Formats: sequence, C-alpha cells, structure tokens
Amino acid sequence: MWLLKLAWKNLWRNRSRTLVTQSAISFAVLLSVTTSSLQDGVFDHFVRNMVSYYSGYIQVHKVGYWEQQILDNAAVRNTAVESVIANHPDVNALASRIESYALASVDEITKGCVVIGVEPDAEPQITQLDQRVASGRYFEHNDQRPVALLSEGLAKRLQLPVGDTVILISQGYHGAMAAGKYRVIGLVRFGSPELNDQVLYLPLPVAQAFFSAENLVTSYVLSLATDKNLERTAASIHRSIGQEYEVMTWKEMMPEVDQHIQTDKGTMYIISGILYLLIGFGIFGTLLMLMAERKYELGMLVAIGMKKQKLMVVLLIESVLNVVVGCVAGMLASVPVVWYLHVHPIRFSGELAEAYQRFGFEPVFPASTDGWLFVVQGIVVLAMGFLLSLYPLLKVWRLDVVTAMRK
Amino acid sequence: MDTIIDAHQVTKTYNPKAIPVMAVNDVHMHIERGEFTALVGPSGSGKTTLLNLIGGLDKPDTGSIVIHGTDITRLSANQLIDFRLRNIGFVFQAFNLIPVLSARENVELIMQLQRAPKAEIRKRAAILFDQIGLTDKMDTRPAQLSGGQQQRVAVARALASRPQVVLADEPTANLDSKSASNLLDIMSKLNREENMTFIFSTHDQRVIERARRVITLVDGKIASDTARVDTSHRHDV
Amino acid sequence: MNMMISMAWRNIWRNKVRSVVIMISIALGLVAGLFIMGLYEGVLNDRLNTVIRQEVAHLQVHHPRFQRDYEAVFCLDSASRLVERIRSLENVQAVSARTVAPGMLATSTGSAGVQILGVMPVDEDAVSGLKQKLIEGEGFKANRHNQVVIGRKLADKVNLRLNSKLVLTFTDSENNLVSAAFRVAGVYQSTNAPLEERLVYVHAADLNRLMQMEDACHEIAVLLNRDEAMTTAEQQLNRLYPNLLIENWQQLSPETKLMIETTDTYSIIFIVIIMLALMFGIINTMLMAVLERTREIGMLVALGMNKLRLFMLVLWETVILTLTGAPFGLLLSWLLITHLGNSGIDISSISGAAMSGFGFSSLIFPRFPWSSLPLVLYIVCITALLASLVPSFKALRLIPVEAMRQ
Repeated sequence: MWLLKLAWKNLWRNRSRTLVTQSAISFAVLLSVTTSSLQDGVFDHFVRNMVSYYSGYIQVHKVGYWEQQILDNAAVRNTAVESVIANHPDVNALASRIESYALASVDEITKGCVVIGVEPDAEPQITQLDQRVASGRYFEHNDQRPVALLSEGLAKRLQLPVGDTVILISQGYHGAMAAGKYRVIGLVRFGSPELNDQVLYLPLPVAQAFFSAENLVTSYVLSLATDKNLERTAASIHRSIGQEYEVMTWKEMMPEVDQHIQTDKGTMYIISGILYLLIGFGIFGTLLMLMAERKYELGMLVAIGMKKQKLMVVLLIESVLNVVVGCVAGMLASVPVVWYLHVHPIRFSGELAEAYQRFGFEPVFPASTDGWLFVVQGIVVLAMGFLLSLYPLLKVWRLDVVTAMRK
Repeated sequence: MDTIIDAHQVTKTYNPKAIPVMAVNDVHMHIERGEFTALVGPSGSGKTTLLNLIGGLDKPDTGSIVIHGTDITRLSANQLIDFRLRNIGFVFQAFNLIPVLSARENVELIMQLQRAPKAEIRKRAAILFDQIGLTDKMDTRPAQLSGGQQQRVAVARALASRPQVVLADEPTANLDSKSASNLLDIMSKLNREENMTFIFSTHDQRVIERARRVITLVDGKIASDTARVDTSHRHDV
Repeated sequence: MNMMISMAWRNIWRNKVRSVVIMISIALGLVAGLFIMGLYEGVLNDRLNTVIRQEVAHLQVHHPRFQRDYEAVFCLDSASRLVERIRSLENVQAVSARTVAPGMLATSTGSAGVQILGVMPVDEDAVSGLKQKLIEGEGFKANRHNQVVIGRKLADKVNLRLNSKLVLTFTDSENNLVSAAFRVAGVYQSTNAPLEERLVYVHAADLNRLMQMEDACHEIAVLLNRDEAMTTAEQQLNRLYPNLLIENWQQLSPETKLMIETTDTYSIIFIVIIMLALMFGIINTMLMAVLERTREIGMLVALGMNKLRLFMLVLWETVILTLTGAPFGLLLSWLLITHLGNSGIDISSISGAAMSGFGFSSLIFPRFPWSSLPLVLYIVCITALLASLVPSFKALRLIPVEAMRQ
C-alpha cells in the first residue's frame, strides 16, 4: 500500500513530467483512433455509395439466376419470404425488381437497353432513384401507368425528349413475344457511363406485364444499416428462406470492387503499422528522458536502502497509472474529434469534388463513429504503453547506485 | 572612491502559500569598487536571496538597488539579462559549468555573448587561465576536472566579461579545505590585480577570515558590518 | 553563432539514445511519408497500366458525334489510310481500328445487350492484349467467317461455351436491323467485370460486310510507347485531324481518374496524421530534454544569455537532428521501396483476403515517389521545426532563480 502511495506522490510531485508522459500516451490514442475512424469511414462511405448505385448490399434471387441472368430464372413473388426478409433486424429496406434486355426504338433509331422494373415506392430507399431524376418527374405512388424513366445517355442516343413515347421489343418469359409503348416521364442521371447509356426503368407491374411475367421478380434488393454484419445477415436470411433462393452480398456480385477495397485496406494496415511505430518511438523517447532525469533520485532511493524490486514495483505502478490515465484521456479526447469529423467530414474541393458529384457521390471523407474503434485503438496503445514501460524497470534493474548519484 | 553597489531599503518576501517569509528585510548596503566582502550568516538568513537580488536574478518587493549608476529594479527582464551579461559575474555553489563545453569554451562563451572580437577573446581567455593556474587544462571538459578546478574555471568565467562585480554564492561549499583555500587565494589575487569587486556568501570560518569586510545577516537583516584587516596580505590601499 | 551550433551539436550527444530516438523518428517519418506515396504510386501505376494497356489505350479517335449517338453512320472513312498515318507518328506503339455496333446477343436460352467490336485481331492484340486475355479457345483463325470472342462473365450468364452458336442483332449503316449467326472462337477474362459482360469481339471484315461499310471504322485506339508522350501525341493528332474527336484515357475512363485523385487526396490526409505522430514524438522528447536541463538553462540565463539565443540553441539542436535523420530516412526509404518494388508486397497476406481467381494480382509493387519527394521532405522538415518550437518556448519560460534552485 505504501508503494502505491509513493508512486502516487511521485506522479504528483513532478506534475509537468507526469503531464508530458500522459499526454504522449493520450495523443497516441487520439491519433490512432482518428486514423482508424477515417479509414473505416472512407470504406463505409465508398461501399454505401457503390451499393446505392444499383446493387444494394444484398440481393436474393431464385437459385441459378446470377449464373444465368434470364427471365426464365425469375422467382415467383412470395409474400411470406418477403416479410421474413423485411423483418430481419439488420435489413433497412427491401425492393423487388424484374430485369432483362430489350430493344428500344423511336422512329428510325433502335438501341439495345436494360429494362428494369422497380417498385416506385421501395426503390428509392435503396438507390435514391427519385433523387437521380435530372429532368421530368419520378414515378407516382403505386404507379401502374405505361410510363418509363430513361437514363440520360440512352435518351440522348434515342434523341428522345421527356413526354415522347418509346417502343420496347424483347423476348418475354418462356420466349413470349414482348412489345409495348411507353411514355417517357423523366430522365435519370448516373455518373457511370455503363448505367447512364443503357438503363430504362418501368414500374414493376408494368414491366411484369411487358415481359409476360406476372408476379415474377428476378431479384429482391436489400439495404442494410451497416456493412459490418454483411455476411452474417446474408447467411441468416439464407437459412430462414430456404435453399430455393440464392442470397448474394455485394462482394459476391461485384468482386472487383471488393478486390479494390481489399487492396486499399491492405495499404491502410501498412499505414497503421507505420503510425504505431512512430507513436511507439514517441512514447519511448519520453520514457527515456524521464529515466535520465530521475536517475539521481532513483539512485538515492536505492542508496538509502530501498530494494530494487520494491522500486520496480513503484515504477510499474507509476507506469500503469500513467498509461491508463493517458489512454482514458486519449479515448475521451478522441470522442469530440471523431464526432466533429463525422458531422463535418473532411470535404475535398475542385476537380475531384466535381467528379464525385458527377458520380452522384458526396465528396467527403467521413469518419466512422463505431464505438469499437475507440476500445480497440485504446487497447492497442495500452498494450504498447505497458510494453514500453518495461524499459524503466530494466533501467532500475541495471541501476548502479554510485554512477547514478554522481551528477 | 567609486561606488559599485548602493542598496536601499531592500525587502523580499517569499510567500509559499500561507506563511510569508521575509527573506530580506529592509537591507541597506553600500559597496565600493575593489572591496572583497563576505556575506555571512546561518542557513536561511537570506544570503542567497540578497545575492540574487543584487545580481538581478530576482526582483525585490520594495527598495532600490543601484549598480554602478543603474537602478536594476527598474529594468525589464530582457534588459536585466543584458545587464547581467555586461556587469555581473556569477560563481555558483556547484555544477557551475556547461558540461558540453570545454573549460576554455565556458570562459569564452560569455565574451562571445558580448560579441567581443575573436582575437581579444583568445587573449583574455589565455590570461585568465594563466591567472587561475589551469593553462594546461584549458581544453578539458568540466567532468574531467576536480571540484576545485571547476570552481576556478567558474571564477575565470565570471571575470571574463570584465564585470563591475563578481557575486559568488557559497563558492567553497563543496570543496575540501585545500581547494577552498586555493580558490580564495585566486579570488583575492584577482581582486587586487584587476581591482575587481567580490561579494561572496559563506558560512565557512576559514573563508570569512580572508575577507576584508564581513556583513552578517540574521533573519534577513544586517546584524553587523565590520571591516577587517587582511592578515595574510597586509598592505594599505 | 558558431558556439551556439557547436553547443547544440554537443547537446545532441549528451544523451545518445535520446538523439538516436529522435533521429530514427524523423527518419521513420520520412520513410513513412515516402512509403505511403510509393505504395499508392505502385497501386495506381498498376491500375493505370490495366486501364491503358488492357482497356482504353492512351488515346482514342472518334467521329465527333459517334459516342453520343452510337450511329453506324458516324464513322471514320478511309480507315486504313488513317490508321497507317497514325501508326507512323512518333511514340506510337500500336494502333487498332474498331468498328463498333451496339446490339443484342441471343441464344436459344437467353439474350443480353452487348457492344460488338469489329477488330483486326493482330492490331487488337497489340493494343489491348486480347489474345493474352483468352482463357478458352484460340481466338480468331484465318479464313473462317463469323467468329466471335466473348467475355467469361457473359458466357456464364447466357450459358455459352466454346463453339456454341449465337445470333448478334444490330443496325447497319443504313439503319436496317441486321442479324447474323456467329460461333464462339474464344472466351476472354479481364479485370473489368462490367466490360467483360458487355464487349464481344468479331473480325472487322465480318462486321463491316454485315454493316455495309467499306474501308471505315468507328474508333481508333492508339497505344503509345511512353505514358509521358500522351499530351504531345494528343496535340499532334488534334492538329492533324481537327475535325475528329481525340480523347485521352482520363476522359475515356473518368472513374479511373476519379480513383487516382481520391487516392492522392487521402494519401495526403494520412501523411498529415503520420506527421502529427512524428511531431508529438519530437515535442515530447525535446521537452523532456529541456526539463532535464532546467538548471543549466537557468544558469545560462543568469550568465546573460538572452532569449533569442536560448531559443536558437534548442532550435539548432532540432535542426541538426533533422538534418542527420533525414538523409538516413531517405536512404532507408530508397532501399525499402526499391526492394519491395522488385519483390512486391502481398496485400492478401496483410488484409487476410483471398484475391486469386479474378485475374487480379494481390501483389503491390511500390515505386519510389521521385515526384513527391520534395513535398514529403518539405512536410517532414516543417514538422520537425514546428515541433521544436514547443520545447524552445518552454525553455524561454524558465525562471532562472527557480530553475537554479532545483
């Protein structure tokens, strides 16, 4: 107990020294929390942008559809399955789609296009389709009219203004002949040329009628609250709806995007490693100077009869107190910083920002506010601090009283 | 005669939290050029505080301290630094020298700070080392010198700037009697040869005996002020 | 001044371990900055190479209206002469003329919208490496009509195999709908899944005949032998063919440009964070060094060293530490990046993800970032100097009497 008291007194006796040490540790925590929160935030943001473009976080199809994306592999709508999915705690929104190819023609011009039948009310919750309308209007609530939304590029290629009519020809369900006339009520804009040049949206029942595929859907598209539980959510949905469906995450549907993210994450890990190394050196430098400064004092304590082991215990207690107080202070200090970066994310400007907006992305690097980050980074620095605290102990162990007391 | 120090009604109170301590209490002091004065008294009598006040390291609460015509209590912190550099030489109790500089560099540092010409710095350093009898140790680092040698270098450094007065706070406290006596010999020799004014605090009886004027402080007040006859080097000024 | 520098220099060697820690920190800071830059330069270089050498090439030439309308009539006439002229230009490595027709691919079981590219196989291999991308079949064979090469993803999607038959439907130059049967002569795989699903290659002779086009094409892809020559080549083409649309890869693949700029921006953000870590290391260590020397600094002030000089003393110490640490860091970065640039860093082992199977390489080859070297050096030096301000000010605030009492 008196050892604890001595350690406590030592800390208070030289307050500026204690403050420097503790601030070294809390700054380390602050930096590593900020870094990992930015790293996580960037990927979260990127994934959210990517999936809100088109795919959603998770899609559910009839088994075999993904391998062979043809109408004959469409699933019969099943309200029981739909409610199971919609009621899953991690699922934010659910929308059904029917999707196939068609030739679109206006007068003399004919172009190939992707026809996507969407639920006018559910779709925007996943892809913000209503916000992508660049001219004209979005579908109405429960729209059943023969109307279409065209991507801007496609409309340009067809030389088709809003209000005109487009004729679609395709092959429907089980090879049925599909043909129909649709009035264009609006144009939607996508940053990616792939989508912008070939997508045409119809209200779901209208598309089903066009493809002679009443009550059929090719995919259920799901939006999640967070990307964190992606695989777990997919697996649990798969279990509850049975083997006749395939449940695919965006990672399975867009492996190349996942690939890029994995590569970037790899580089982020390397960056974190470098950061820890520098932080470690910072803390070590502080401890080093601390010991140099206290050499005389420690030599004196040994000289007047304090056992080295006892002294090591005192130093250990001091270190533990310093590290713990520093870590807690650092974690507390990083809360407002991360919160600020979350609410006022780092915005970039200029050409890059314009490019982002063209893609429909918000030009920001947001910070993630995941509570685990704080704990994990706090523990990492705590461990690093304890490890580095061994240095003072070693120094005491090798302390030579006579040289220590010679100033 | 030429007045070097004129202190009037000098008072300094240290106020550690609750109980105020009058370290220096209404002191009047007058010192002429070339005096060799010991400031004596028991521990805590205010010797160091008085020296710090005269040296401009600390400011008195009341009173004035005029050194060679300048009232240092009216100087700003920056002016004080410059004043010290040109007018005061210090010898501290222990650990006096800059450890990373050689003995010669320690002495030359002060002159360099005064921006003296290089040739003059060399010349003056050589003379001073000759006077303290350490010419052969000029390029030695302080750590390799004995305590007495270190204090001799410190005295040489204090004189390097040709100050008005050299203030030495317990210069012999950490020395054995032989080194102490040797240091006193050098100080008194320089006092005569360069007509340098010395004030040193001490409670060492052997040192007191070498002083020509002894001011005794008790509880921050001057209890006695007596001129003595230098027994070892008797000759009239 | 000399004395100050020599004092600062000797102060550095008073506590060697401390100075070495600071020097290593500075070296590490530099290594970190350069390494991050080098890492991203490696990643970008890799992706850029993919985009340029497997997808869009450096430059593309179109009829000004072609890409907007995709109408067969907006073609480049006298294609063979045009190609020969471009091929003879300086820095041009390979040229491929393509006839482009958007259309539909149909099999007995399904259909898909596709982009049909009519190419000269030898030229296309030279520009986008089509032959190297084949995973099934041997590609176009001479003297055979109506062969098609399709992507693996498309093949899976519409259930096509090597030698399967399929029907391509598109509009000809007079806007008539044309359908023709083709046989799959090869399946290719690329790193770009959406393209793999959409682009199908046929022989230019077949497509031109079906579209009733003579010596014409819609697109000329130009691959240069050096990336740096692009601006010059682009200007030259613009001068030669003011009526044609000349575009570079940045315009053709805006998402790649976006990615490169994003990466540039966030590498700077992380460098700033790393520099903060460096700064805090220097501040703390130097602060401790000042605290350790409290008495000595007090004495210097007592002797008459003024504040500017005292400030400079601590500043010089940091400057010298930086100047010694920086070359060491430069050398270390150069060695590290050159070494890893040759052997590659296996990202999959770091991020724990399996990366094989998509034609992707999980190896990153960092490149020494010569272009950002001045920037990184500048940032590190500024950081070190800023960091030294704190302990310098701390030294100024010491009061001599109190400092000496310790």
